Amino acid sequence: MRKFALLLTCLLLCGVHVVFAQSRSITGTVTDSDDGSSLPGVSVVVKGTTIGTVTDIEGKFTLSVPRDANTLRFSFVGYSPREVDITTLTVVNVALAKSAFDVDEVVVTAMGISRATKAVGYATTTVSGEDISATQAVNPMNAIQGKVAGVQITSAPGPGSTQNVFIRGASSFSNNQPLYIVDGIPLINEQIQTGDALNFQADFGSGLNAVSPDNIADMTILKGAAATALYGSRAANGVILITTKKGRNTEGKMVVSYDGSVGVSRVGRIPKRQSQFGQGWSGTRALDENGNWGAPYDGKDRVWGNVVDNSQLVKPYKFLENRVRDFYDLGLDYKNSVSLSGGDNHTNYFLSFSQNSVDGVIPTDADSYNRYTISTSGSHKTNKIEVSSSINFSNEKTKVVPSGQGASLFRSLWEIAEDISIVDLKNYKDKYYKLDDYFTPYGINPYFALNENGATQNKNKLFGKAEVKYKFLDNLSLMYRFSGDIENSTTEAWVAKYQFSPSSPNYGTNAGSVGSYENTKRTRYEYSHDFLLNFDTDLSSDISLTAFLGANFNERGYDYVSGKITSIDVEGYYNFSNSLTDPVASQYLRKRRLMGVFANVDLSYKDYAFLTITARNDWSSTLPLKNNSFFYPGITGSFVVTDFLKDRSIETGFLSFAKVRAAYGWTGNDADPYQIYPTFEPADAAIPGYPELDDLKFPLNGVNSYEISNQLGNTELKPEITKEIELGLDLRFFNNRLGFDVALYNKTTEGLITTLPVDPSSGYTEQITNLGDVNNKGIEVTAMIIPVKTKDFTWNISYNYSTNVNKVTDLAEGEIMIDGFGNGTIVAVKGKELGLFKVNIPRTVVIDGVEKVIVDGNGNVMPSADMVVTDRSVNEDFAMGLTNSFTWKGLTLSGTLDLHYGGYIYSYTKDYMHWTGSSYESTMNDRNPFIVPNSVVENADGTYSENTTPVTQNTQHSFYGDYGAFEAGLYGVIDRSFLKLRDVSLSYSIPEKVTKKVKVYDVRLSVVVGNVLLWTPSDNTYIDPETTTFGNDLGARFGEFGANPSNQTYLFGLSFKF
Amino acid sequence: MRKYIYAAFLSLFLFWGCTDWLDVNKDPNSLGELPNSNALIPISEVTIANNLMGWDFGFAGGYWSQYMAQNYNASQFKTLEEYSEFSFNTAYQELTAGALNDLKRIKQIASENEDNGSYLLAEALSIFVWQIITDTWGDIPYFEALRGDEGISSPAFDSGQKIYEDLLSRINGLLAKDFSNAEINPDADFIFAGDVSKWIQFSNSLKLKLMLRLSETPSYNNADVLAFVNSADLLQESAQIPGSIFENKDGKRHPMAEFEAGSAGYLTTNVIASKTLLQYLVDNSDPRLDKIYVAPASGHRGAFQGDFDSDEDSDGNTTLDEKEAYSTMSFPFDMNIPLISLWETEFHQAEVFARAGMHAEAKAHYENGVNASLAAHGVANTITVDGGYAKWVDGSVEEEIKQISMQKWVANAKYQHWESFLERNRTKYPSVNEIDVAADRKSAWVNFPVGDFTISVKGRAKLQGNLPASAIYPNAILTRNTSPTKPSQKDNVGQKVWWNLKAGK
Repeated sequence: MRKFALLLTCLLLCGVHVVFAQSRSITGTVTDSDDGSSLPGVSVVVKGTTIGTVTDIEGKFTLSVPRDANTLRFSFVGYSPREVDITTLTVVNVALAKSAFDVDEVVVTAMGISRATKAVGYATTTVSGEDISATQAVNPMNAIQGKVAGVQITSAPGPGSTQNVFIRGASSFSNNQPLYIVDGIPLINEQIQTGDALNFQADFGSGLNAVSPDNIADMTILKGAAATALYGSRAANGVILITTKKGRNTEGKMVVSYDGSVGVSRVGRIPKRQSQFGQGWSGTRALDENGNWGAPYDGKDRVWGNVVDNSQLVKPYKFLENRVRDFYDLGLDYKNSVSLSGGDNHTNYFLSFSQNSVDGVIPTDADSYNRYTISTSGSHKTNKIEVSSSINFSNEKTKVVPSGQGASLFRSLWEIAEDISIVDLKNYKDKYYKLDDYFTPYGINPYFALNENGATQNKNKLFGKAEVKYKFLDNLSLMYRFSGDIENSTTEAWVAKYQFSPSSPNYGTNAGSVGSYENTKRTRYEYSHDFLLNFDTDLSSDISLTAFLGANFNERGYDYVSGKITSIDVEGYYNFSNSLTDPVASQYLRKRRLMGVFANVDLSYKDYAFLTITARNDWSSTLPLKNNSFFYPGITGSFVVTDFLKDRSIETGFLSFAKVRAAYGWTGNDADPYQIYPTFEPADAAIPGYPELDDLKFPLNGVNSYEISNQLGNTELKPEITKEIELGLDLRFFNNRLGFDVALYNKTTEGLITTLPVDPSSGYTEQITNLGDVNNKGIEVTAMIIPVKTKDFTWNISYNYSTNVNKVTDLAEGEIMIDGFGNGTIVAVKGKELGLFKVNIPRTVVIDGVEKVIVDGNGNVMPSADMVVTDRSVNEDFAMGLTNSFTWKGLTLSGTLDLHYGGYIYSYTKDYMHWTGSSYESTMNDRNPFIVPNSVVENADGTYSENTTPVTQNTQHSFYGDYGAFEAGLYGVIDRSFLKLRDVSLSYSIPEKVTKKVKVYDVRLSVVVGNVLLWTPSDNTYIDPETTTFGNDLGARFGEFGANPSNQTYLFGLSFKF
Repeated sequence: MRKYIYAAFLSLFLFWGCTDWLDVNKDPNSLGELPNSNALIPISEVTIANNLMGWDFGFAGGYWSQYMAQNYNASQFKTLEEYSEFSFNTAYQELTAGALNDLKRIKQIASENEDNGSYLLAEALSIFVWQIITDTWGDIPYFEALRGDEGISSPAFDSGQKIYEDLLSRINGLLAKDFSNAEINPDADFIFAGDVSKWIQFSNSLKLKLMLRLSETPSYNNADVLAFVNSADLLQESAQIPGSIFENKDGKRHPMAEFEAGSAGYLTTNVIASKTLLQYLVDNSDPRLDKIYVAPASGHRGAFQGDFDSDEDSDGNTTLDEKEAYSTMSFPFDMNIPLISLWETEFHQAEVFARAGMHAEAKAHYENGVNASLAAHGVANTITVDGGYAKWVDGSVEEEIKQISMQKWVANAKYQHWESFLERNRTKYPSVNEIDVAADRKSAWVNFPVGDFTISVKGRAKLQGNLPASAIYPNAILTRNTSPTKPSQKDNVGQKVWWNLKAGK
């Protein structure tokens, strides 16, 4: 925040160094009143003018002031401002006191306009770059988990994976991610993945990964429609505004700063497993089985595995508690980031280089992430013209261990019975462990999967801008900005070939693998032209007006080319030429354009009453040409009660600050491209999407063919419009030692665009249409308390709470499937929450007033014929975050607890453990035969009689693994509540007195531990409920399909400047 | 000052008149228009064939016609043997939104171009597909179907009987047309390479199939059908997608071969021979045995239907059933896929003559049918000759229908699994033996009721001893269609369609 304020000050003061004939020079030093350390970057302004400067790195300043100037105002973010009478002074040394809350702080609002916080009529949250880099997270969004009310952030566990961010609940079926703006540049943030949610999926992260947290000066989250309307149709889900660090006025000196960290990570949650029964099936120990349905453990030494060369291995037949955890390694992370910056009154520059290396907890570097970023920015200004530019380049190399089914590590790990040590299988090419001799034909050695299969990405991203601002008059300027973002990625994924020797024990039972290799190139680009005409004036001594008028032209494009071979000739060589079958190629092109004009008027009255009116009109290429325009207005107001009272000379006592605010605004959201016109598609005859199956594709026998697209076009498509009202109250007491900010919002998104599945009897299976409304309302509370504050010791508490109630208020017809797969989906249904689980539930019948479970002839609970929409939703009831930080002199201890309560998640891990018999639930009744309580069977005549067929050892596998035990399809849908100790950090700032001698400043040492504690309800002993494998939008809330486990991190960090 | 403002606004609105800038919404990834209907014909034909022997009908027909049994130690098709609720959603969608919608467009384009040949092909195939649909799902949207582009997204449901009436009137209407100058693009037509006369024969055989399917309904009049058979020009060869269009490459194979190829292995992992058909072929020394099944080294062996959870040793040789080696099914990548096979239309004619008591004609067509089947497998006829188990025996109508039906059942293995299931629903042959295999497997092994169906061990309780008779409604219909005529979901796959009236299981 400091640096940002500095930059702002620089900007505000641009070109104001008018030489006064009658001027005098003032010099001085600004220090911190607590510890006497110098304060660089403090704004020093002659009150009532724009004449000013900022202090240098040692806190010193020199300023020419008019003869008649009599008051200097010193202000700095995080400190209470001070005014000093300079009528008689030429040297002014000032000590500023830290303020708990910055009543006078500024926030960045839409279009990068900074405004006083008190003038803003909606909730904004700003997180400082210091707080972000203190967590040592690789991705900036991970750094703010649990710290911002109303913002939900989840991510897949692998290094470099994607963040799934929801602001104020889901309001669209498919497009709920916020817009990221970095220094005015809209960032491409599409997720890149290979495979699909179920099969061999690799998540390579999204565009935001290219932003190094160490380069962030601050990040502001704009949540409501009124706050984001100016960004047009892409900001309907909120905006994350990232301001990067800039060079500042150091009077020509160069400042070098360094941030580094080194750390380890270890695997987090490992599912709880049953410890009674080992390898086998149907109650009998069987040495070739991949399940835990065998005999009870007896601890005796017994042979296991196949007989190889007339010998067989021996081990005790007992449960091995740590075998899964032992499989994982410690991951190693390190990063280095160096920046060079400086400037003078006219020019500034910033250059940074960063390197991150993360090797995850899975053995080998098959899960690793390496990132290099280079960022430059600079600006130069003269009296009339200011030019600035920034260019950022990043290279990311990601290796991912694919999740789900197919040739994944997950499946092979869980297909090892719990009495077999996993690490012993490491030599996967050796006798006993190689695939030919591997103990089971139903699974493969996980070390084979890990070492021989894989997925990688190499991505380059370049984004930047050039900006020119011309001042026609002091209060009238025109800005033009060109910004662009282009990213290129190459992803590869391969599955190794393996064939069994005809004489090997596994030959014939396991078909082996013919291998595959896929190489995909994606290019995404986006560019914008922005024009902004700014005007401000004082309408009277009390009323001032600021206005701007702007236009925006945006184009986004996507070019995808992919090739695949579905067999491998020579093992281990992955190239399209090394195939027994022809390579299959596919391509996809996409382009969309948007233009918009917008206007904004800010009125302020006596610095305590504020009104803002905004309006924007967009024209989108993705809507029908004749009806492609849409308009949305916004109005916000803010009234600072305390300033109003002070203006009337009324003392407010212990109430330091009080503000009420209200906002009403609209935002719009256009459609995806190519949904208007009907088309013919290259023909293929679909085959159900099971692994290794390919649709029948043309050309066949030299004949090509086209078919009518199953998606009906829609020439009447309209944009989604979100209307939101927000009320807020900001109260601070006891000289800002206690503060509350409360926001209430109610937003309705009308005409949700989605693919409406239609009855295939109509000749079509789907149509893109506007078919529903979704309402989200909620409360966000942020509280700040400083219980203790002495000269050396401060205790700071920051707390946030948010709850969101979501409802599909209207839906054209039926239900909309959002995501999922054959065993369960999440759907939207009118009148209910968005995202309800739809699964098979147990069949029941009420007999004599008692609900009975219907079982089949084998004693299994019968699932309903069709899946049924349940009342289990993906949405949480509420979330709370609590950060405590203790500062004693230079030492700070800080920790964040993050609680999410309510909602459900699908876990394939649980599902699969039921199948392999490692789930602890599967030992009910010690696996002795049992009759499902209260169960009946249906007779031929439709009557029911009491069930007498027990579930036996022979059928327990079916009972748990195929039928979902007592709950049918509900058994994979578990409570998603959790409490996490998000991070604990201990940092120490070495006093300047010590470091000054070696000309080093801001030396900070820190230890950070992340995600070390996770509590979940007894329903979930399986997974970290934040993991997901279903993309990065609403579908991601569905759950995980064999995801890799989440990690804990332990990092040591060092940063300094010189 | 003012000129600056003007200049600024001018540059700002430079693009304004240019609405072309926003006209970039035509999908470059697909075609906007087609010059003629030829491009739609190949996919329509292939989609039909690919579904007849595809994942849904190929396997369900295979298990429910007791050609296949679920392998022990695997689970993919357990639910078919358990007679669980199957809706065959993929097949329904592919046949309606896929084939039928494309066929409708071919008819539209053909009508506009006065192209009677393409119209004949498309209308005949449409009627063919609609029969499969109503035979499989029963009452289903028909008259209002395929009109999504007219805004009808929830077509009303129609009774199977009404659909049959209309299909018969459509086939009559089609056959009444003049095809003397009709042409079909030979490249686009995989089935008959553009031979219009064969499409007329196809339409006639299709009409026979439509008429005969109603044999158990009160309105059936064998005299009418006999008159038609005596006058009509019926198929002289199978109407089929020739296997020669397939290649041994991913996405280019016969669907059953695709399910096996590469690492997929769905056949080898899950499909073993059902004792029902295998034992019938073995005991009768049918030469098709080794064409339909692949014997393991230990010799041919079939498994009890739906007995995949058995942990017994049924034959008493000390090897558990699950550890025995069973015969398997293999499908070459380039197998033909019949829509209407020559044996099918011959057996239909045989049945019509049998019903009319015309034994000689019945015998002739029966033997034609058997020969057509044997020819498809490339084996010599040793079975309808003297001493052969399939030698024609004049008998009562019912006896003759049984003879024909048994051979139809054998002939359809590997070629027409779903048609086999549908026809058995009509004729009830092979009959069902009530033996409870799981009650005494050793006895069942020795006293196996060869030539009869058994009830799947794992499905016995589900349908209270009955066999599957139709598919339940696809979820895609029930959740999306809002028509008030929409019926509620069927209880299970045991529910019979309207023409399934013959007594028996």
